[in-house]
Formats: sequence, structure tokens, C-alpha cells
Amino acid sequence: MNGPGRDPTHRPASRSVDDLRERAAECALTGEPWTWEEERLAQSLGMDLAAETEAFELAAAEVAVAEILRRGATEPPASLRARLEAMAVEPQAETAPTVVHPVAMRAVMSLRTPLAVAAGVALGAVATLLVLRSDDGRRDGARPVERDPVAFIRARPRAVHWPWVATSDPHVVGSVRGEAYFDPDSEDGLLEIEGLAVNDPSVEQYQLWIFDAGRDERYPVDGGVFDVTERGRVVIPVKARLSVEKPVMFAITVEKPGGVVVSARQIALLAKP
Amino acid sequence: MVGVRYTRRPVPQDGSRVTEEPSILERVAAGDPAAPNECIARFSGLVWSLARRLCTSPSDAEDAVQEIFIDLWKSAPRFDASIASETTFVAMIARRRLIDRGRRKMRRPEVPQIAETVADSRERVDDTERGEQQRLAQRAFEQLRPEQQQVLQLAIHHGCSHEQIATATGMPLGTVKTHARRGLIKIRQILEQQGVLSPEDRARLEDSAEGTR
Repeated sequence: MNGPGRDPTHRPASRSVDDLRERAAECALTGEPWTWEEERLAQSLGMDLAAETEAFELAAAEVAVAEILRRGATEPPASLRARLEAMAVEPQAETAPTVVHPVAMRAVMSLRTPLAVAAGVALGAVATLLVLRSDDGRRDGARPVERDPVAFIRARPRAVHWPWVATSDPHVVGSVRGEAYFDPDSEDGLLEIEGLAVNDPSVEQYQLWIFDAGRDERYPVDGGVFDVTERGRVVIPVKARLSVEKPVMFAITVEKPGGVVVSARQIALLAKP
Repeated sequence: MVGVRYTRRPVPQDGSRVTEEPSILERVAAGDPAAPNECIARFSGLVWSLARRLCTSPSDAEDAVQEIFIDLWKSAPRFDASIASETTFVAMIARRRLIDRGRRKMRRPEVPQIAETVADSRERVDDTERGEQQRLAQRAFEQLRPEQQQVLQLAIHHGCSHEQIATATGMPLGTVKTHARRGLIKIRQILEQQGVLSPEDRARLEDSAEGTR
């Protein structure tokens, strides 16, 4: 939502470290995402935008805490406190180092319907046999996929891995990091993503699409839907059951719950060589 | 790294921020079964107070608080006492989640509602967490120019968007953004000079994190 040219008061391309630092302060206050141009400029300047933003988030938090304590904190309702304590019974189930919430395993077979992407190219969903894996990394007794990208690459010398590139979609929040990893031999992969907004599964879900060199580019493989339940880094294991001979691009779109076979939504993230 | 050049923060005289005892969040991260409830007992008032200010309704705030604590337990391994206090870290996670919720819903609390919330919370004072760190943060805020204080008061304490602040104050939107940006930069500088935030340790941590990615 903060793409250059959309906001007349928004400086389209920060030209210096100081300008970028001001943007970091603004992003810390508003949650606005970085633009692609700002990210690239920061990289060229050797500046870590995520670190800058977090430093300002901490500063804002200090001020907020001081104000709360000055005026007095308010205790939550007893009913809420009870729910929190119930949640605390098994917190470790929620504290896995990787946050993986693929909630709908899609297996839509042989669908060839168009998906309009930002560039206006019609894409379609073909047989979905690349599915998002469950939280424990296993599906139907298959061996688990490593959630550590480094270990994944070490174990799969032919695996490809490409960085995510953000679009101006408002679901991109903050600095986008991470890569898409895929091994054409084992046909499994990892989506390491930082910078996607937490989604409300009752309203929308993220959907993965995989472009294969062996298929018509208008008909990418539908990779299923998933949720992002916290801001920050998430790692989502994927496993292909249909052959993806040579992945050439990954895309993530925002769709209605359960995903779609035809989409006109703008792509949030892309990963390609 | 460009943009992260600061002197090391002074060692706290009272040793309150660097301790050999594991903090609540460190114990959460380590899997101590008692730690999550202690976390709730210690921080639920702070999180609830933040949520009530930035959410549109009590029910929305209750949902947000539950999300925040789940988020907090997941994020516990990232907490580093040498960078910020537990309270600050908790508030940062809470604010981040609340801002994300606000952006998703594309709605923000109206200023009149916020004023009522603040008035309500004045009645109840929690003295358990008031410390030097918060006094320093308050002093840093008070060193800002009045217009910067006004803008950041609305942005940080009441969760107002820049557009809402411009409407409420009559300032041009660009002026609001400038005051917000420069005011927060000033606060960060003061806090870092006072050792409340530790950029050098942060940079080291980030370098370490980069190496594990």
C-alpha cells in the first residue's frame, strides 16, 4: 500500500541512509512495508532495514511502556486471564522454532484454468500434487523434510533456492527475507519467508504456485494454501507428488479460505533465479 | 554496518538488566512448564492495556491479547536481555501484533474513544513495574518538541494512523509524518545514549542470526 506514487507525501526512493532511517521509523510506527526500491537501495548501502525498523520498534515500545506504567496498567478481565492460563498449559506446542500452518491440503487434479497475475498473464492451476506438509513435517509416513534450510541444501546438492521478491501487495509487511528451496530429485522443498502479514484464515489464506519448465507457463502447479500466524520468519515444508521437473519460479498469492483454482489476485511474493 | 554505529551502553549500576538468573522469557524458551503462567501473571496487565488502547473494542482486544501471548511464547527464544528489557520486548511484540491487526482490518480506533480509554485506565495504577528504564523513556519523550510529542502521543499511545493524526491536529499529512519520524529517531538516540537500548549488542546479535540463516 505504500508503493511509490500512491501516496503524494511518500518519498518514492530514499536517497540516503538518513532517509532510509526515517522510513524505518515510519514503518515501526505504522507497520508499513518497505518498497522493493527501498530494500534494494538499503542493500546497496549495506544497511539492514529490518534491524533499523526493529530498533525503532523497541524505542516506541519503551515510550509506550513508560506511558502505560505512568498512567497505570489495567488488569485483563478474569475470563480472559482464564483463557490465557488454559493456553499456557501446553505452550511448547506453539513455540516450535518454525511456524508452519498449512491448514488445507489441496489435491485438485487436472484443472487447467487461468490465473491472472500482476503482469496480466493468465495462469492456471494444474494437478496439485505438490502439497503443503503438516506441522510435523510428515505426510503419509514419508520421511520428514528438514526445516533448516542449511541442512536442506546440504542434504540435497541439486536443490535450487531463490530469494523472495516482494510486490506492492499490502500483505507484504516490513522487510521481506527468505528463499524458496526445492529439490527436483526428491521433489520436496521449503518455503522460508519473512515479511508476510499474519492472515485471518476465516477471511483469506496464502496460496503457493509453482512454475515448472516442463509445463505451459500459463498453468503453474497449485501448491496449496497456508497460514502465517505470526509476524516474522516462517518455514513451510512442501512435498511434491507429481513431478516438477524443473522449477523456474514460485509465487504466493492471497486468496479466499481454501484457495482457488482461478485467481485474479495480485501476487504477494515471487521467487525466481 | 551502515546506520548502526553507537557506543556500548553503560553497565547498569543496579545490575537490573544483566542477570545470571534466567528471565521468564528465557525459561519459556527453555520449556519451563511454570514459566508461561508467570509470563501471564507478569505481563497480562501491560499487554491488555496496550490492546485496549489500540483495539476498537474489548472483544477485539481480548482476541488480540490471546494472539499476542501465543506470539510471545513463540518469540521467546529471540529475547536477549542485553538488548532490551523483558518488558520492552513484550511491548514490542504486542505492538507489532496490534499494528498488524489494525492494518489487516484497515480500521483504527477513533481519537475520542481513545481518550475515554485513557481516562479509564488512570483509575488503576500498577506499581510493580515502574523503574528507572521507564523514567528514562518518559524523559526522552519529554525532550521532544511539543508538536513531535503530540504526534507520537497519538501514534504510539493511541494507535492513530498518520491520516487520523492529520485530521485531529490540523497538520498537513507530510508534517505529521516528519514529526513522527524525527521524533522517534530522537527518542531512539536518547535511549541508546542512556543505555536503555543497546545497538552494539543488537548488531552483534543480528550478525549471528544472519549466520544461522
